Amino acid sequence: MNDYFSGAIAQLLERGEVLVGKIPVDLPLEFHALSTACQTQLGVILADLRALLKDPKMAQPALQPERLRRFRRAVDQLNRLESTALNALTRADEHDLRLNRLIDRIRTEIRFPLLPPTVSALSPEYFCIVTDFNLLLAPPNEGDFLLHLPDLYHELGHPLLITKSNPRVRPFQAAFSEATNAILDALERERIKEERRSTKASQRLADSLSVWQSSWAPWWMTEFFCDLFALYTLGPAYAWSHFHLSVKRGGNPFELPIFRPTTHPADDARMTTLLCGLNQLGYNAEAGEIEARWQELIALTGAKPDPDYVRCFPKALLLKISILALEGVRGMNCRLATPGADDEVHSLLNQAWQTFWSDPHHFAAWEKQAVQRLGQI
Amino acid sequence: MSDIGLFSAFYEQINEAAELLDEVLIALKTGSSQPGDESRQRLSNWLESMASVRSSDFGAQLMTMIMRDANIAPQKWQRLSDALRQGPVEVGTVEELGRLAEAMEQRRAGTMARMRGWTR
Repeated sequence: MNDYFSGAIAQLLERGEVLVGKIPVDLPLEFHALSTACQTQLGVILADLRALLKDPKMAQPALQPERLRRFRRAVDQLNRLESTALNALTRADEHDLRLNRLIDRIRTEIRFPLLPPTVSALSPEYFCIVTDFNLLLAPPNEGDFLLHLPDLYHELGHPLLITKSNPRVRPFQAAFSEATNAILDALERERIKEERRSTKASQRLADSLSVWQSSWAPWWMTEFFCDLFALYTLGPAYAWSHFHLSVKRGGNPFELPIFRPTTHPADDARMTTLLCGLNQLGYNAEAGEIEARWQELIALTGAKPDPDYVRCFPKALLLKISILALEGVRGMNCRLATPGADDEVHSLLNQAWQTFWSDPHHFAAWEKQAVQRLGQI
Repeated sequence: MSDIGLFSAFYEQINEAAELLDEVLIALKTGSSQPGDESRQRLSNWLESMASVRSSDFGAQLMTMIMRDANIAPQKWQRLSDALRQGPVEVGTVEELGRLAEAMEQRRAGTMARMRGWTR
């Protein structure tokens, strides 16, 4: 494979230089961090590729498995950089700039303990954050509407869980660990109980419990903690946004994985946890209102939970998760969205939902003007 | 967050671990590895942290999944960690680390494929 690597790596080096040349030089300040990250990563990838090509020991037969793995990692990193970070930089338009100013305003309002991500409206799916570039991808045009913008707060939760060696986020990560241990212990006790029963049905349930454990840690717990971070820093608007997405997206709100772990927990479990959180913050009336709407939606879908649903999502543990997450958010000294909070973005996003429900027929017109006001905040 | 975002965090962690593992394997296979090497110590510490307590932070949970894929039982992690701290490393240990590296590569490639939407 030496001849293959010689040709392929040389071509990749050429490609890398082309990409460096494509990084715009006249970017607004909001994109400078992403540009620096992009250039730094490109430098590392190209250095790694040169080493694979020129280091004599990498031609040794015994090291070809390692050489192949390193080559594949470099290829994927280059592709990924090109399709995410570089794409965001070459796009960087007025719409993206407004989103970046909005995220910086949110960061200030909630006393977010990290630097804000760069935002680009390039998401092929929904909101997501590409953590190694600190790049938040929003759906195209979502910045022109208000009702899904609360999901920006959810995305801000993700870097809090994976940032290493930063004492500011340690309380949130410690709460995450404690919550994870609690759910894993509970499910393990159930699993052992079922295994001891030694019937076919109990063995199937034991297998399901094992799949649920692999889903909870780390995927589902990550989603619950990011949901709660959003709720505790924005308030009821986030719970409404979850309702809105669940109405639009469809699917079984009580979905349980059977054979393989999944990345997202059941929408109903997420809503239950959010309602616990709203009560923690003192939004009892709002929690009641949202719960009523949620039950209306569930009735409309005709969906019913599996008998074992409560073993996967025990209500007492969902409450415990909401309490631990609140301790974590407090521990980071973030601004909590208690009923008295009155920051501009926070107020506007909550007012959007209040207006939606009080005057749904004229909401679209109201929203148009509100988005313009948001652009001036 | 969509799957792309969740997997990107996973991808970052797995990439880091994979590079560390290959760095140590290259040194072991070329005979230049010493117990005091920084990368070997880091790998040993990481394996020990996976073995000692049930670590429930995000990164540790992801790595647990990979260890299962490589059929490396938790009790072996400590043994691998200890082996890296001592002098010469046995051929069997190098092979086990190689299996772990392959399991990590499989998981990394699968994660990248899901991020691209190939398997959706």
